[in-house]
Amino acid sequence: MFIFRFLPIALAIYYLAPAKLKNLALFLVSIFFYSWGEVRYFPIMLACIVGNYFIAIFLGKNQDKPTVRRWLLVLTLVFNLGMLFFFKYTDFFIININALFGTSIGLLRLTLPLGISFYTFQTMSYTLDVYRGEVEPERNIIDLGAYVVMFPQLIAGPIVLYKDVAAQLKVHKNRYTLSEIDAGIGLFVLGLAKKVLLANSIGALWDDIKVLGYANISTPLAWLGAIAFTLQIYFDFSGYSTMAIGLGKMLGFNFPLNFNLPYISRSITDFWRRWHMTLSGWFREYLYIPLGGNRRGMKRQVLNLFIVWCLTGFWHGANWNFLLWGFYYFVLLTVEKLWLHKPLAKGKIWPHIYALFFIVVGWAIFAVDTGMGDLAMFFSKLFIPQSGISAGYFVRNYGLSLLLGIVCSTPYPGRFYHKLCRQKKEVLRIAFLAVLLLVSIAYLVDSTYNPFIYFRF
Amino acid sequence: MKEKWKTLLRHPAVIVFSSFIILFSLADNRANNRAFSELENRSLAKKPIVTRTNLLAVDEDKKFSYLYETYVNDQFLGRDVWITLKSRVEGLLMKTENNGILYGDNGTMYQKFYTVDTTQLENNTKAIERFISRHPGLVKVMIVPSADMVSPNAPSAPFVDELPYLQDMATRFGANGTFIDLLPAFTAHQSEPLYYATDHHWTTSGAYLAYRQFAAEVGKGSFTPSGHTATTVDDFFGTLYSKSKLYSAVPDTLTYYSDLTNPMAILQGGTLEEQQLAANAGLETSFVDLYDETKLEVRDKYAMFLYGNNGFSRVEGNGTGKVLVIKDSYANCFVPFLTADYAQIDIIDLRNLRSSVDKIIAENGYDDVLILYNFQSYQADKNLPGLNLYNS
Repeated sequence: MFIFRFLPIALAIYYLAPAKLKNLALFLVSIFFYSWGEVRYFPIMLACIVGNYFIAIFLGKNQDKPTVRRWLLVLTLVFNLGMLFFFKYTDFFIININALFGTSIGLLRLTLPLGISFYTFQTMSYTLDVYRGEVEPERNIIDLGAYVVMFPQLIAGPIVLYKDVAAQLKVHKNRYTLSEIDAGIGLFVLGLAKKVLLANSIGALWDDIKVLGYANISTPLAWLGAIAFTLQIYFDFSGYSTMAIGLGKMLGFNFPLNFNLPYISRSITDFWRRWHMTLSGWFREYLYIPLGGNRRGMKRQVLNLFIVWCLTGFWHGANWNFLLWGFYYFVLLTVEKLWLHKPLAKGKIWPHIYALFFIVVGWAIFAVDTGMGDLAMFFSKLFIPQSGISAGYFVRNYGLSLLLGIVCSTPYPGRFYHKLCRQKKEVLRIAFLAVLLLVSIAYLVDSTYNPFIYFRF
Repeated sequence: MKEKWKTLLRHPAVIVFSSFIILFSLADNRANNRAFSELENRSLAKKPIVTRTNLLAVDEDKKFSYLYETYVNDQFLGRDVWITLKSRVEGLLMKTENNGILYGDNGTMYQKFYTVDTTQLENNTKAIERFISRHPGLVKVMIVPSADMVSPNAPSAPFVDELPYLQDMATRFGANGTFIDLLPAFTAHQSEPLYYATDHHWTTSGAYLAYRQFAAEVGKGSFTPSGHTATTVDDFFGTLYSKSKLYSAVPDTLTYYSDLTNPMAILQGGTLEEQQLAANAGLETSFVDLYDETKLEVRDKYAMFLYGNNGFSRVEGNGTGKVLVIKDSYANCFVPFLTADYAQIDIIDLRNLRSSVDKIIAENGYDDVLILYNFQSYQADKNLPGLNLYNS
């Protein structure tokens, strides 16, 4: 659908548009893309662009007036976070307040505007950078709008900072080259295959487990499910990011890398340098470091880590399990920082096993989002060996897909592709990509199942 | 310009993929639309028209974008070829299921039935209990276990264990009626094809086995296969195949007794639309025989039995007495056996009937009433409470 309707037309409009109008073309096709899924949230997107545009301009004009600047900063935070909070977290707080005080405040039951968690973070990065005097306020609202709604990364990241693409937005002639388009096509197909062939076919296992009920499964099946979810979320999310980066290249933009083989990490610290890098980068730059980072003593650093990781968890969803998941990583990262740092650096094999174990357990916390009771049940299945529905059938059905997923989590497939990228093997590379593309299309055509687990964010 | 072409030629991937996408998009856009897919045995989506309602719809499946995407997907150029390609790749990945259909040995397929709708099941069981208590001694209940409960070919997947539910029904229905437990007999004959490999129904032999047990219960049983002409139809790819679309599927053979020419009156037609049409034409009743042989030409051949699931039908039999069958589609190939035993066989499908069953019973004075469902449709059926409705 996207590939055979939207993409060719959008790219044609963009490529054929006169140099000066490229950003307008990009803005318009992206607005169409955004409104396609949900027309009614189009005004929110527009408000977000216009609001940040004017705040940034006022900030630019008042750089020498500290009080005005401070008030504008507060306004930025209230405006952007307020929007995110209203749509994403209001019901969560109402439910908890109701439970705590026995009140019965009605729920708003808002549908989450597509990609709001991503684009509010993007616009905030822009205004905050203007506040810090790191970038000039953008005078052309179309250019700013094109940055905010740019369709490749709009829904699922990577979170692109304004300063990463600001210069390129001003390049009108020769913004993209054929080599970039070539590389972009390759990345897009690889990302599509990751999402459609790996994530979807592995993901059905976790759905089966949810249908069967956590109470009925055996310990081996619980572990198999947690491992399947671990692989699914990686290929799902990194597949989308890879597609976005590829599309970005086709448009002439270099988006930052979002995943760098997270499952070969040697520690949890290492994992968070490789997983959703643009999100952890955002939190580091706009929260951890402004809070003082590691420069104000150990106690303060631990507090900063606590704040950052609870919020990182909460960013993933308005639910207790996500908060717990963030807190879990706070504990692990603090322990590593304080004690495990050195032994991990010396170890060879065990750091990998250690890291993978805690990553898989972390995803189990993340995956069971239907309440703390279910989470406790699932964890009892993981850690207290017991019988129940056997893993046998699932190993048989999903075994090869899981194995393929594990292989694709290592550096080898990437190296294989880079080998093909050498000009000599161009035919092989095209054939490889063509097979992936055709098979992915086949899977999309016959799909009754095409979830995107990051849609809620 | 020449320079530009030269650079382009240095990037064959760009040429290959962009021309593929462009040409395919154009061809797909121009291709003729199909209304129905034989392979999948279902109607395909038509091109939606933009309206204010679907543009501003809140429900996902009512949105214009959803309708349009479904349309593009359904009408995708070479859809069947793509589906077969996926099925082959799934084979390479050694997958043992697709789209909710599990593959067993010897080409058999099974519905992925992992969880029971316990609320609906309890509602239905209660509804039948109430119904039976108003007609003590009259009602026999037959709930057919799923193929995965019986067949030795079934994969060792975590299918629902239906036994405790069947036992519960036996106790509760046994008080004022009779529960006919098919599981022992079916297990004893498990090596025979009691169920279709590619369809979710039982075969004519499966139904016959059940008929023997029912007949013993009511003291009849005049039908013998040897006394009739069995006609077989090959190339039956059933509903399980239509969902899984397994490229290597082996078709089933469908058997029916073609010498049975008992007339059947469909008093209340299938869909509401059909009923409306019939009413408008002044035709309340249409007379046919037991088999709709035109269905043998299409993929879903099981639909030939009793012309599908009509609300109320009456078959003239060659025996004595009257029987009422309240049923799902499993009974469609079961009813022909009853023609040897009864003079009048009335058939009710609650999905398409909106009138009082008690009244029908009072008017006709049946010798036996049989409730016949398969377990999977029984636990999900929302129309069974209709047994106790419309009794003003």
